[in-house]
Amino acid sequence: MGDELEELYRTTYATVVRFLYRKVWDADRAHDLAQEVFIRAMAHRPEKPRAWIFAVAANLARDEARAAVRRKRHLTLLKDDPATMPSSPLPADEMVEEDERRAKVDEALATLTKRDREVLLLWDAGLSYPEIAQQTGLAVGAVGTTLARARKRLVDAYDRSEQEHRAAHS
Amino acid sequence: MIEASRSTVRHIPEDELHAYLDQALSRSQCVEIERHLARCSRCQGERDGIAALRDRTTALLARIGPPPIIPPAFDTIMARAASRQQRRWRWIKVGSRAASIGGVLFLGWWMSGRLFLVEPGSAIAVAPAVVAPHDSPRVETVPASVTAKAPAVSPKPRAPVKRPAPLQLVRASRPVGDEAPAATDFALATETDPQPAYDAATSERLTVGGDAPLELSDLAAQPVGDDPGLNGLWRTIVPDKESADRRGEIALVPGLPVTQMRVQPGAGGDDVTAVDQTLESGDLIRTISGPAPRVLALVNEDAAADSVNHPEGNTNHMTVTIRQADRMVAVTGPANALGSLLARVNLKNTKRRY
Repeated sequence: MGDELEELYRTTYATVVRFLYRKVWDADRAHDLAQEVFIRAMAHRPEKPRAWIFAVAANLARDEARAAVRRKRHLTLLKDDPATMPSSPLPADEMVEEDERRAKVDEALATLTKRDREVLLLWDAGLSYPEIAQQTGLAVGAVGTTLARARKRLVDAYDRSEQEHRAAHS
Repeated sequence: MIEASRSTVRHIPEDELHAYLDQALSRSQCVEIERHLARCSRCQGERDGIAALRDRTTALLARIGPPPIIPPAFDTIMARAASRQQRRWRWIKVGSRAASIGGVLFLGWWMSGRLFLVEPGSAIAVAPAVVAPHDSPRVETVPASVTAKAPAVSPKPRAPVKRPAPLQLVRASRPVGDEAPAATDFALATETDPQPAYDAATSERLTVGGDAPLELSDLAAQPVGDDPGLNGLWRTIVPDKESADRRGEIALVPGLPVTQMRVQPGAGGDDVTAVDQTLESGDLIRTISGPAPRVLALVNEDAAADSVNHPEGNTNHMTVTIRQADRMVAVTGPANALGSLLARVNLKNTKRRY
Protein backbone atom coordinates (compact mmCIF):
# COMPACT_ATOMS: atom_id res chain seq x y z
CA MET A 1 0.00 0.00 0.00
CA GLY A 2 2.84 2.32 0.87
CA ASP A 3 4.59 1.48 -2.38
CA GLU A 4 1.38 1.99 -4.29
CA LEU A 5 0.87 5.38 -2.72
CA GLU A 6 4.46 6.32 -3.34
CA GLU A 7 4.16 5.37 -6.97
CA LEU A 8 0.89 7.25 -7.22
CA TYR A 9 2.51 10.24 -5.61
CA ARG A 10 5.31 10.28 -8.15
CA THR A 11 3.03 9.87 -11.13
CA THR A 12 0.07 11.95 -9.98
CA TYR A 13 1.34 14.75 -7.80
CA ALA A 14 1.85 17.16 -10.69
CA THR A 15 -1.56 16.30 -12.08
CA VAL A 16 -3.21 16.89 -8.73
CA VAL A 17 -1.47 20.24 -8.40
CA ARG A 18 -2.63 21.21 -11.86
CA PHE A 19 -6.15 20.04 -11.08
CA LEU A 20 -6.16 22.09 -7.92
CA TYR A 21 -4.54 25.07 -9.53
CA ARG A 22 -7.36 25.33 -12.02
CA LYS A 23 -9.74 25.56 -9.14
CA VAL A 24 -7.92 27.78 -6.70
CA TRP A 25 -5.76 29.75 -9.16
CA ASP A 26 -2.87 29.96 -6.78
CA ALA A 27 0.18 27.80 -7.41
CA ASP A 28 1.44 27.80 -3.84
CA ARG A 29 -1.98 27.04 -2.48
CA ALA A 30 -2.40 24.27 -5.02
CA HIS A 31 0.87 22.74 -3.83
CA ASP A 32 -0.19 22.97 -0.21
CA LEU A 33 -3.53 21.37 -0.92
CA ALA A 34 -1.96 18.62 -3.02
CA GLN A 35 0.37 17.74 -0.16
CA GLU A 36 -2.54 17.78 2.20
CA VAL A 37 -4.35 15.35 -0.07
CA PHE A 38 -1.47 12.89 -0.02
CA ILE A 39 -0.96 13.25 3.72
CA ARG A 40 -4.59 12.33 4.22
CA ALA A 41 -4.22 9.44 1.81
CA MET A 42 -1.34 8.14 3.93
CA ALA A 43 -3.56 8.19 6.98
CA HIS A 44 -6.70 6.76 5.35
CA ARG A 45 -5.13 4.21 3.02
CA PRO A 46 -8.05 4.23 0.59
CA GLU A 47 -8.85 1.18 -1.48
CA LYS A 48 -8.94 3.14 -4.71
CA PRO A 49 -6.32 5.75 -4.02
CA ARG A 50 -6.37 7.48 -7.37
CA ALA A 51 -10.09 8.20 -7.37
CA TRP A 52 -9.96 8.97 -3.67
CA ILE A 53 -7.19 11.50 -4.12
CA PHE A 54 -9.06 13.46 -6.75
CA ALA A 55 -12.26 13.34 -4.74
CA VAL A 56 -10.49 14.77 -1.71
CA ALA A 57 -8.71 17.30 -3.89
CA ALA A 58 -12.05 18.46 -5.28
CA ASN A 59 -13.45 18.79 -1.77
CA LEU A 60 -10.45 20.75 -0.56
CA ALA A 61 -10.66 23.01 -3.58
CA ARG A 62 -14.33 23.59 -2.85
CA ASP A 63 -13.54 24.54 0.72
CA GLU A 64 -10.78 26.76 -0.52
CA ALA A 65 -13.13 28.49 -2.92
CA ARG A 66 -15.53 29.23 -0.07
CA ALA A 67 -12.69 30.62 1.98
CA ALA A 68 -11.61 32.70 -1.00
CA VAL A 69 -15.08 34.17 -1.25
CA ARG A 70 -14.86 35.18 2.38
CA ARG A 71 -11.43 36.70 1.82
CA LYS A 72 -12.70 38.51 -1.23
CA ARG A 73 -15.47 40.07 0.81
CA HIS A 74 -12.88 41.16 3.32
CA LEU A 75 -10.70 42.64 0.62
CA THR A 76 -13.68 44.43 -0.84
CA LEU A 77 -14.15 46.10 2.46
CA LEU A 78 -10.46 46.97 2.65
CA LYS A 79 -10.56 48.37 -0.84
CA ASP A 80 -12.65 51.24 0.34
CA ASP A 81 -9.97 52.08 2.83
CA PRO A 82 -7.53 54.57 1.20
CA ALA A 83 -4.74 53.42 3.45
CA THR A 84 -4.85 49.95 1.99
CA MET A 85 -5.00 50.92 -1.65
CA PRO A 86 -1.81 50.45 -3.70
CA SER A 87 0.07 53.59 -4.51
CA SER A 88 -0.02 52.93 -8.23
CA PRO A 89 -1.91 50.23 -10.12
CA LEU A 90 0.00 47.92 -12.38
CA PRO A 91 0.21 49.23 -15.93
CA ALA A 92 -1.75 47.13 -18.39
CA ASP A 93 1.17 46.80 -20.76
CA GLU A 94 3.09 44.86 -18.13
CA MET A 95 0.75 41.98 -18.41
CA VAL A 96 2.54 39.37 -20.46
CA GLU A 97 0.96 37.66 -23.36
CA GLU A 98 0.89 34.37 -21.54
CA ASP A 99 -1.14 35.90 -18.78
CA GLU A 100 -3.60 37.25 -21.32
CA ARG A 101 -4.06 33.88 -22.86
CA ARG A 102 -4.44 32.32 -19.50
CA ALA A 103 -7.00 34.89 -18.54
CA LYS A 104 -8.98 34.08 -21.64
CA VAL A 105 -8.97 30.41 -20.85
CA ASP A 106 -10.05 31.28 -17.35
CA GLU A 107 -12.92 33.27 -18.71
CA ALA A 108 -13.84 30.51 -21.11
CA LEU A 109 -13.82 27.98 -18.31
CA ALA A 110 -16.00 30.27 -16.26
CA THR A 111 -18.69 30.13 -18.92
CA LEU A 112 -19.10 26.40 -18.35
CA THR A 113 -21.54 25.06 -15.87
CA LYS A 114 -20.08 23.82 -12.64
CA ARG A 115 -20.66 20.21 -13.57
CA ASP A 116 -19.24 20.57 -17.08
CA ARG A 117 -16.16 22.28 -15.70
CA GLU A 118 -15.68 19.61 -13.07
CA VAL A 119 -15.96 16.79 -15.58
CA LEU A 120 -13.61 18.52 -17.98
CA LEU A 121 -10.96 19.14 -15.34
CA LEU A 122 -11.22 15.63 -13.99
CA TRP A 123 -10.82 14.23 -17.49
CA ASP A 124 -7.84 16.49 -18.05
CA ALA A 125 -6.37 15.23 -14.79
CA GLY A 126 -6.42 11.75 -16.27
CA LEU A 127 -9.38 10.18 -14.54
CA SER A 128 -11.27 7.49 -16.38
CA TYR A 129 -14.95 7.74 -17.21
CA PRO A 130 -15.98 5.44 -14.34
CA GLU A 131 -13.84 7.47 -11.92
CA ILE A 132 -15.35 10.71 -13.16
CA ALA A 133 -18.81 9.21 -12.87
CA GLN A 134 -18.15 8.08 -9.32
CA GLN A 135 -16.90 11.45 -8.25
CA THR A 136 -19.52 13.57 -9.93
CA GLY A 137 -22.50 11.29 -9.47
CA LEU A 138 -23.12 11.04 -13.17
CA ALA A 139 -23.86 7.82 -14.99
CA VAL A 140 -20.85 6.51 -16.85
CA GLY A 141 -22.74 6.88 -20.10
CA ALA A 142 -23.40 10.53 -19.37
CA VAL A 143 -19.74 11.39 -18.95
CA GLY A 144 -19.12 11.31 -22.70
CA THR A 145 -22.11 13.55 -23.36
CA THR A 146 -21.00 16.01 -20.68
CA LEU A 147 -17.44 16.01 -21.95
CA ALA A 148 -18.58 16.63 -25.51
CA ARG A 149 -20.63 19.61 -24.42
CA ALA A 150 -17.91 20.99 -22.14
CA ARG A 151 -15.19 20.79 -24.78
CA LYS A 152 -17.34 22.49 -27.33
CA ARG A 153 -18.36 25.26 -24.98
CA LEU A 154 -14.84 25.87 -23.80
CA VAL A 155 -13.44 26.18 -27.30
CA ASP A 156 -16.36 28.28 -28.48
CA ALA A 157 -16.02 30.64 -25.53
CA TYR A 158 -12.30 30.98 -26.07
CA ASP A 159 -12.69 31.63 -29.80
CA ARG A 160 -15.33 34.24 -29.10
CA SER A 161 -13.00 35.94 -26.66
CA GLU A 162 -10.20 35.93 -29.21
CA GLN A 163 -12.42 37.46 -31.85
CA GLU A 164 -13.55 40.18 -29.48
CA HIS A 165 -9.96 40.86 -28.57
CA ARG A 166 -8.92 41.12 -32.20
CA ALA A 167 -11.84 43.34 -33.01
CA ALA A 168 -10.93 45.62 -30.13
CA HIS A 169 -7.35 45.99 -31.37
CA SER A 170 -8.11 46.34 -35.07
CA MET B 1 -25.29 1.36 -31.03
CA ILE B 2 -24.93 1.64 -34.74
CA GLU B 3 -27.64 0.44 -37.02
CA ALA B 4 -27.45 0.14 -40.76
CA SER B 5 -30.17 -0.81 -43.13
CA ARG B 6 -30.74 -0.49 -46.83
CA SER B 7 -32.74 2.68 -46.50
CA THR B 8 -31.23 4.50 -43.52
CA VAL B 9 -27.84 4.56 -41.83
CA ARG B 10 -27.51 5.50 -38.20
CA HIS B 11 -24.24 7.27 -37.61
CA ILE B 12 -22.13 7.20 -34.52
CA PRO B 13 -23.44 9.59 -31.85
CA GLU B 14 -21.13 12.41 -30.88
CA ASP B 15 -20.75 11.39 -27.27
CA GLU B 16 -19.75 7.91 -28.33
CA LEU B 17 -17.06 9.33 -30.56
CA HIS B 18 -15.77 11.31 -27.61
CA ALA B 19 -15.78 8.18 -25.49
CA TYR B 20 -14.12 6.27 -28.31
CA LEU B 21 -11.31 8.81 -28.59
CA ASP B 22 -11.02 8.90 -24.81
CA GLN B 23 -10.60 5.11 -24.84
CA ALA B 24 -13.56 4.74 -22.56
CA LEU B 25 -15.38 2.07 -24.55
CA SER B 26 -15.18 -1.67 -24.37
CA ARG B 27 -13.27 -3.64 -26.93
CA SER B 28 -16.41 -4.85 -28.69
CA GLN B 29 -17.78 -1.30 -28.89
CA CYS B 30 -14.49 -0.10 -30.36
CA VAL B 31 -14.57 -2.85 -32.98
CA GLU B 32 -18.11 -1.92 -33.94
CA ILE B 33 -17.26 1.77 -34.23
CA GLU B 34 -14.13 1.14 -36.25
CA ARG B 35 -16.09 -1.12 -38.59
CA HIS B 36 -18.57 1.68 -39.15
CA LEU B 37 -15.89 4.33 -39.55
CA ALA B 38 -14.19 2.26 -42.21
CA ARG B 39 -17.13 2.73 -44.53
CA CYS B 40 -18.73 5.99 -43.35
CA SER B 41 -16.97 9.13 -44.49
CA ARG B 42 -19.36 11.35 -42.59
CA CYS B 43 -18.50 9.75 -39.27
CA GLN B 44 -14.85 9.88 -40.19
CA GLY B 45 -15.12 13.63 -40.58
CA GLU B 46 -17.00 13.83 -37.34
CA ARG B 47 -14.30 11.83 -35.60
CA ASP B 48 -11.55 14.09 -36.96
CA GLY B 49 -13.40 17.16 -35.82
CA ILE B 50 -13.87 15.76 -32.34
CA ALA B 51 -10.23 14.73 -32.19
CA ALA B 52 -9.22 18.28 -33.07
CA LEU B 53 -11.62 19.67 -30.49
CA ARG B 54 -10.21 17.30 -27.93
CA ASP B 55 -6.64 18.28 -28.69
CA ARG B 56 -7.53 21.93 -28.59
CA THR B 57 -9.19 21.57 -25.23
CA THR B 58 -6.12 19.86 -23.92
CA ALA B 59 -3.91 22.62 -25.26
CA LEU B 60 -6.09 25.35 -23.77
CA LEU B 61 -6.18 23.71 -20.40
CA ALA B 62 -2.43 23.26 -20.51
CA ARG B 63 -2.09 27.05 -20.62
CA ILE B 64 -3.67 27.40 -17.26
CA GLY B 65 -1.40 25.02 -15.50
CA PRO B 66 0.72 26.16 -12.60
CA PRO B 67 4.41 26.96 -12.94
CA PRO B 68 6.76 24.01 -13.28
CA ILE B 69 6.21 21.63 -10.42
CA ILE B 70 8.94 20.20 -8.23
CA PRO B 71 7.17 17.84 -5.88
CA PRO B 72 8.58 17.44 -2.41
CA ALA B 73 10.15 14.12 -1.56
CA PHE B 74 7.71 11.40 -0.68
CA ASP B 75 9.54 10.94 2.62
CA THR B 76 8.54 14.47 3.54
CA ILE B 77 4.89 13.64 3.00
CA MET B 78 5.26 10.43 5.00
CA ALA B 79 6.94 12.28 7.86
CA ARG B 80 4.19 14.87 7.96
CA ALA B 81 1.54 12.16 7.89
CA ALA B 82 3.26 10.30 10.73
CA SER B 83 3.60 13.46 12.78
CA ARG B 84 -0.07 14.26 12.33
CA GLN B 85 -1.02 10.72 13.32
CA GLN B 86 1.05 11.01 16.49
CA ARG B 87 -0.63 14.28 17.40
CA ARG B 88 -4.01 12.71 16.82
CA TRP B 89 -3.19 9.73 19.09
CA ARG B 90 -1.89 12.10 21.73
CA TRP B 91 -5.18 13.96 21.77
CA ILE B 92 -7.12 10.71 21.84
CA LYS B 93 -5.07 9.60 24.83
CA VAL B 94 -5.58 12.86 26.66
CA GLY B 95 -9.28 12.81 25.89
CA SER B 96 -9.79 9.25 27.01
CA ARG B 97 -7.83 9.82 30.19
CA ALA B 98 -9.86 12.90 30.99
CA ALA B 99 -13.04 10.97 30.32
CA SER B 100 -11.88 8.17 32.61
CA ILE B 101 -11.08 10.54 35.43
CA GLY B 102 -14.40 12.27 34.94
CA GLY B 103 -16.20 8.96 35.02
CA VAL B 104 -14.42 7.87 38.16
CA LEU B 105 -15.17 11.18 39.84
CA PHE B 106 -18.81 10.86 38.92
CA LEU B 107 -19.04 7.31 40.18
CA GLY B 108 -17.26 8.26 43.35
CA TRP B 109 -19.73 11.06 43.91
CA TRP B 110 -22.68 8.92 42.90
CA MET B 111 -21.83 6.07 45.19
CA SER B 112 -20.63 8.14 48.10
CA GLY B 113 -23.87 7.71 50.00
CA ARG B 114 -24.84 4.15 49.25
CA LEU B 115 -24.44 2.52 52.65
CA PHE B 116 -26.54 3.51 55.57
CA LEU B 117 -27.02 2.42 59.10
CA VAL B 118 -30.23 1.42 60.73
CA GLU B 119 -32.58 4.27 61.35
CA PRO B 120 -34.11 4.14 64.79
CA GLY B 121 -37.53 2.69 64.73
CA SER B 122 -37.08 1.50 61.21
CA ALA B 123 -35.16 -1.51 60.17
CA ILE B 124 -32.01 0.12 58.91
CA ALA B 125 -29.76 3.10 59.37
CA VAL B 126 -26.34 4.12 58.23
CA ALA B 127 -23.59 3.73 60.72
CA PRO B 128 -21.95 6.97 61.70
CA ALA B 129 -18.82 4.93 61.85
CA VAL B 130 -18.78 4.84 58.11
CA VAL B 131 -18.01 8.48 57.94
CA ALA B 132 -15.84 10.24 60.41
CA PRO B 133 -14.16 13.60 60.06
CA HIS B 134 -10.53 14.22 59.28
CA ASP B 135 -10.06 10.91 57.56
CA SER B 136 -8.98 10.05 54.12
CA PRO B 137 -10.42 7.03 52.41
CA ARG B 138 -9.06 3.59 52.03
CA VAL B 139 -10.36 0.39 50.51
CA GLU B 140 -9.83 -3.08 51.79
CA THR B 141 -10.81 -6.48 50.64
CA VAL B 142 -11.75 -8.94 53.27
CA PRO B 143 -12.73 -12.54 53.37
CA ALA B 144 -16.39 -13.18 53.08
CA SER B 145 -17.38 -15.23 56.04
CA VAL B 146 -16.54 -14.06 59.48
CA THR B 147 -15.36 -15.94 62.52
CA ALA B 148 -16.18 -14.25 65.78
CA LYS B 149 -13.05 -14.61 67.82
CA ALA B 150 -12.24 -10.99 68.23
CA PRO B 151 -11.46 -9.64 71.64
CA ALA B 152 -13.53 -7.03 73.33
CA VAL B 153 -12.76 -3.47 72.46
CA SER B 154 -12.56 -0.59 74.83
CA PRO B 155 -15.22 2.05 74.38
CA LYS B 156 -14.32 4.93 72.23
CA PRO B 157 -16.62 7.83 71.65
CA ARG B 158 -17.15 8.78 68.10
CA ALA B 159 -16.88 12.33 66.95
CA PRO B 160 -19.91 13.91 65.36
CA VAL B 161 -19.84 13.93 61.61
CA LYS B 162 -20.92 16.84 59.49
CA ARG B 163 -20.12 15.69 56.02
CA PRO B 164 -18.86 12.55 54.36
CA ALA B 165 -15.20 12.05 53.98
CA PRO B 166 -13.93 11.38 50.44
CA LEU B 167 -14.59 7.86 49.35
CA GLN B 168 -12.50 5.46 47.41
CA LEU B 169 -13.86 3.44 44.61
CA VAL B 170 -12.69 -0.06 43.97
CA ARG B 171 -13.50 -1.85 40.81
CA ALA B 172 -13.89 -5.50 41.61
CA SER B 173 -13.27 -7.91 38.81
CA ARG B 174 -14.61 -11.27 39.79
CA PRO B 175 -13.89 -14.71 38.53
CA VAL B 176 -16.65 -15.91 36.30
CA GLY B 177 -19.26 -17.74 38.26
CA ASP B 178 -22.56 -19.30 37.37
CA GLU B 179 -24.47 -16.14 38.02
CA ALA B 180 -21.70 -13.64 37.74
CA PRO B 181 -22.79 -10.76 35.55
CA ALA B 182 -20.57 -9.03 33.08
CA ALA B 183 -20.80 -5.77 34.93
CA THR B 184 -18.23 -4.59 37.39
CA ASP B 185 -19.01 -4.18 41.04
CA PHE B 186 -17.73 -1.34 43.08
CA ALA B 187 -16.77 -1.07 46.68
CA LEU B 188 -16.55 2.09 48.68
CA ALA B 189 -14.43 2.72 51.67
CA THR B 190 -13.14 5.55 53.76
CA GLU B 191 -10.20 5.24 56.03
CA THR B 192 -6.86 6.72 56.90
CA ASP B 193 -4.70 3.66 57.01
CA PRO B 194 -1.74 4.31 54.73
CA GLN B 195 -1.29 0.61 54.03
CA PRO B 196 -4.10 -0.69 51.88
CA ALA B 197 -4.94 -4.32 52.26
CA TYR B 198 -5.33 -4.95 48.55
CA ASP B 199 -2.46 -5.75 46.32
CA ALA B 200 -0.84 -2.46 45.49
CA ALA B 201 0.89 -3.97 42.52
CA THR B 202 -2.38 -4.30 40.69
CA SER B 203 -3.77 -0.95 41.64
CA GLU B 204 -3.86 2.24 39.66
CA ARG B 205 -3.69 5.31 41.83
CA LEU B 206 -5.22 8.54 40.68
CA THR B 207 -5.23 11.83 42.50
CA VAL B 208 -8.61 13.46 42.49
CA GLY B 209 -8.44 16.99 43.69
CA GLY B 210 -7.25 17.98 47.13
CA ASP B 211 -5.67 15.31 49.22
CA ALA B 212 -8.21 12.60 48.58
CA PRO B 213 -6.63 9.81 46.59
CA LEU B 214 -8.97 7.85 44.40
CA GLU B 215 -7.83 4.36 43.68
CA LEU B 216 -8.83 1.64 41.30
CA SER B 217 -7.70 -1.87 41.92
CA ASP B 218 -8.74 -5.36 41.18
CA LEU B 219 -10.62 -6.99 43.99
CA ALA B 220 -10.45 -10.72 44.09
CA ALA B 221 -13.79 -12.25 44.84
CA GLN B 222 -13.81 -13.62 48.31
CA PRO B 223 -15.39 -16.98 48.92
CA VAL B 224 -18.18 -17.35 51.41
CA GLY B 225 -19.10 -20.60 53.04
CA ASP B 226 -22.45 -22.13 52.40
CA ASP B 227 -23.12 -22.02 56.12
CA PRO B 228 -23.57 -18.41 57.03
CA GLY B 229 -23.22 -19.01 60.72
CA LEU B 230 -20.77 -17.01 62.76
CA ASN B 231 -18.47 -18.61 65.26
CA GLY B 232 -17.88 -17.19 68.66
CA LEU B 233 -20.13 -15.89 71.37
CA TRP B 234 -22.96 -13.90 69.96
CA ARG B 235 -26.15 -12.67 71.44
CA THR B 236 -29.16 -12.50 69.24
CA ILE B 237 -31.05 -9.27 69.60
CA VAL B 238 -34.53 -8.30 68.58
CA PRO B 239 -34.43 -5.26 66.37
CA ASP B 240 -37.80 -3.97 67.43
CA LYS B 241 -36.88 -3.91 71.08
CA GLU B 242 -33.25 -3.11 71.08
CA SER B 243 -32.71 -1.04 68.03
CA ALA B 244 -34.16 1.89 69.86
CA ASP B 245 -31.17 1.73 72.15
CA ARG B 246 -28.80 1.42 69.29
CA ARG B 247 -29.86 4.28 67.15
CA GLY B 248 -27.59 4.75 64.25
CA GLU B 249 -25.18 2.12 65.41
CA ILE B 250 -26.30 -1.00 63.64
CA ALA B 251 -25.17 -1.10 60.06
CA LEU B 252 -27.27 -2.97 57.57
CA VAL B 253 -28.70 -2.63 54.12
CA PRO B 254 -32.03 -0.85 54.06
CA GLY B 255 -34.96 -2.35 52.25
CA LEU B 256 -34.12 -5.98 52.93
CA PRO B 257 -35.78 -8.19 55.52
CA VAL B 258 -33.62 -8.86 58.55
CA THR B 259 -33.39 -12.51 59.37
CA GLN B 260 -31.02 -12.27 62.26
CA MET B 261 -29.35 -9.55 64.25
CA ARG B 262 -26.56 -10.46 66.64
CA VAL B 263 -24.19 -8.62 68.85
CA GLN B 264 -20.87 -9.44 70.42
CA PRO B 265 -20.48 -7.08 73.35
CA GLY B 266 -17.38 -5.02 73.76
CA ALA B 267 -16.03 -2.97 76.54
CA GLY B 268 -17.81 0.27 77.05
CA GLY B 269 -20.63 -0.69 74.77
CA ASP B 270 -18.48 -0.68 71.65
CA ASP B 271 -20.08 -3.83 70.32
CA VAL B 272 -19.68 -5.74 67.09
CA THR B 273 -22.96 -6.29 65.36
CA ALA B 274 -23.78 -8.76 62.64
CA VAL B 275 -26.98 -8.38 60.67
CA ASP B 276 -28.15 -11.09 58.27
CA GLN B 277 -30.59 -10.12 55.56
CA THR B 278 -31.97 -12.03 52.64
CA LEU B 279 -32.34 -11.06 49.04
CA GLU B 280 -35.34 -12.01 46.98
CA SER B 281 -33.21 -14.73 45.49
CA GLY B 282 -32.71 -16.18 48.95
CA ASP B 283 -29.05 -15.26 49.10
CA LEU B 284 -27.66 -13.92 52.32
CA ILE B 285 -26.39 -10.39 52.83
CA ARG B 286 -24.40 -9.99 56.00
CA THR B 287 -23.33 -6.66 57.39
CA ILE B 288 -20.81 -6.64 60.23
CA SER B 289 -19.92 -3.40 61.94
CA GLY B 290 -17.93 -2.37 64.92
CA PRO B 291 -14.43 -1.38 65.90
CA ALA B 292 -12.18 -1.78 62.93
CA PRO B 293 -9.58 -4.07 64.50
CA ARG B 294 -12.24 -6.48 65.66
CA VAL B 295 -14.13 -6.53 62.41
CA LEU B 296 -10.91 -6.94 60.47
CA ALA B 297 -9.74 -9.71 62.75
CA LEU B 298 -13.05 -11.47 62.31
CA VAL B 299 -12.97 -11.40 58.56
CA ASN B 300 -9.31 -12.34 58.36
CA GLU B 301 -9.65 -15.29 60.66
CA ASP B 302 -12.71 -16.42 58.86
CA ALA B 303 -10.98 -16.17 55.53
CA ALA B 304 -8.42 -18.71 56.64
CA ALA B 305 -11.10 -21.01 57.99
CA ASP B 306 -13.17 -20.64 54.89
CA SER B 307 -10.30 -21.46 52.57
CA VAL B 308 -9.88 -24.73 54.45
CA ASN B 309 -13.57 -25.57 54.38
CA HIS B 310 -14.03 -24.54 50.76
CA PRO B 311 -10.70 -24.96 49.02
CA GLU B 312 -12.37 -24.58 45.63
CA GLY B 313 -13.72 -21.24 46.75
CA ASN B 314 -17.09 -19.71 46.29
CA THR B 315 -16.47 -17.24 43.54
CA ASN B 316 -19.96 -15.90 43.54
CA HIS B 317 -19.59 -13.88 46.72
CA MET B 318 -17.60 -10.89 47.69
CA THR B 319 -17.09 -8.62 50.62
CA VAL B 320 -16.95 -4.87 50.69
CA THR B 321 -15.49 -3.09 53.65
CA ILE B 322 -15.86 0.51 54.61
CA ARG B 323 -13.52 1.81 57.18
CA GLN B 324 -13.46 5.20 58.76
CA ALA B 325 -11.05 5.89 61.56
CA ASP B 326 -11.62 3.20 64.20
CA ARG B 327 -14.89 1.91 62.75
CA MET B 328 -15.44 -0.59 60.02
CA VAL B 329 -18.41 -1.99 58.19
CA ALA B 330 -18.10 -5.20 56.18
CA VAL B 331 -20.86 -6.21 53.79
CA THR B 332 -20.81 -9.69 52.31
CA GLY B 333 -23.13 -11.03 49.69
CA PRO B 334 -23.49 -12.38 46.16
CA ALA B 335 -21.10 -10.57 43.92
CA ASN B 336 -23.65 -10.09 41.21
CA ALA B 337 -26.11 -8.45 43.56
CA LEU B 338 -23.88 -6.33 45.74
CA GLY B 339 -23.29 -3.50 43.33
CA SER B 340 -26.91 -3.11 42.29
CA LEU B 341 -27.95 -3.53 45.89
CA LEU B 342 -25.81 -0.63 46.99
CA ALA B 343 -27.25 1.48 44.22
CA ARG B 344 -30.77 0.57 45.29
CA VAL B 345 -29.95 1.50 48.82
CA ASN B 346 -28.94 4.93 47.77
CA LEU B 347 -32.10 5.51 45.80
CA LYS B 348 -34.22 4.69 48.77
CA ASN B 349 -32.23 6.69 51.28
CA THR B 350 -31.54 10.15 50.10
CA LYS B 351 -31.15 11.61 53.54
CA ARG B 352 -27.74 11.25 54.93
CA ARG B 353 -27.11 11.31 58.57
CA TYR B 354 -23.92 13.29 58.49
